[in-house]
Amino acid sequence: MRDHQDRVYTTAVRLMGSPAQAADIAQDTFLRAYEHFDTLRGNPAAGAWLRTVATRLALNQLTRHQRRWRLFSELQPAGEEDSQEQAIEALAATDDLLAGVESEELHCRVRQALAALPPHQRIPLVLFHYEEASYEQIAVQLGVSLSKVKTDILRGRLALARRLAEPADRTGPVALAVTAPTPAVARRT
Amino acid sequence: MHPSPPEPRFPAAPDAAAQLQQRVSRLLGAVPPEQAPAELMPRVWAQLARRRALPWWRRSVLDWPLPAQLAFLAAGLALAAATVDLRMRAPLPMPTQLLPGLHALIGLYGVLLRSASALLHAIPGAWLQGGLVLGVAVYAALFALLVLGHRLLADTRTPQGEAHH
Repeated sequence: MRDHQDRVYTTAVRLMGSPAQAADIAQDTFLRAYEHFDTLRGNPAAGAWLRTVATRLALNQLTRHQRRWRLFSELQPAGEEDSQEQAIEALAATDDLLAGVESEELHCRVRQALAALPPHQRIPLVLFHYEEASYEQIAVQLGVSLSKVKTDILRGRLALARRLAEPADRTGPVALAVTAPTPAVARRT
Repeated sequence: MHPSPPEPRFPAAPDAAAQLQQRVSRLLGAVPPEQAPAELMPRVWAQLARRRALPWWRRSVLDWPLPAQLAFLAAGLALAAATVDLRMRAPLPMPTQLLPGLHALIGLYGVLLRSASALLHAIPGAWLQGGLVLGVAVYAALFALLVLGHRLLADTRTPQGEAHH
């Protein structure tokens, strides 16, 4: 049960970028789970079901007030002509980070950098890298065009890399203390 | 758990965007799940207890007792049938007796409709066309202004002065 809690909360906090909102999403998820208690009890797919519900609830909340702006955001130019150059810069800036990929300090910095991204970059990035959704699935889930999803994910990666390349002391000790990692480390490499 | 072999130093791959994707994947994938707050499950139990304490008629219809659900369904069907019957048999004296407020409302609607029609006929056609063109122009101008404002706002909200264009 504890593992389910952590995974549901983690899914929510990665999408929402806010611990308080993530706790609300996790609470709603478990309330939904209680309504389907007979089906879920002892079901090996319960964990996946919970994460799916948490993702859907988070996306509902995040996109509720953004529908009216969707048209305007779609009108933004793609601007991918310089992405290769920016990616080269981002790669160079993060070249040394992989050496410390196991360190708790870097985990905290990654969490903080992810939470600091604007929602239109963070959400597709999380769906792609953590929920293993394809570009097409993300476009459908968010109700935006495929090109916008690709652009936002690319910009999200660039922004994330830039933030991680900043000196560690600029990330701030308070935010680092907010998210304590669990002993159980699950990897998706 | 096997440590991954060190990634080749940059620049190595021709497609930097694809390499960045791999690197971000590794960095994000290495982050363990977060610990849910200790008060999460107590909050869930408390919410469930609050729900259970509610009388049945204040819960979701799906949680009502079966006889109540059936009665609700029957009442809904009867209301729908009565509405259809009311539409088929116009004018109907009985509903106006039963719903005098509705009768007055329909009368008021008719008066407003006739007044609006008379007003439209009184206005010269050229004025109407001019007003229509003006309305479309104002709408287009406001739309352009909103798009411009949104772009400016989105640019200033992007972290680290990241260029959108």
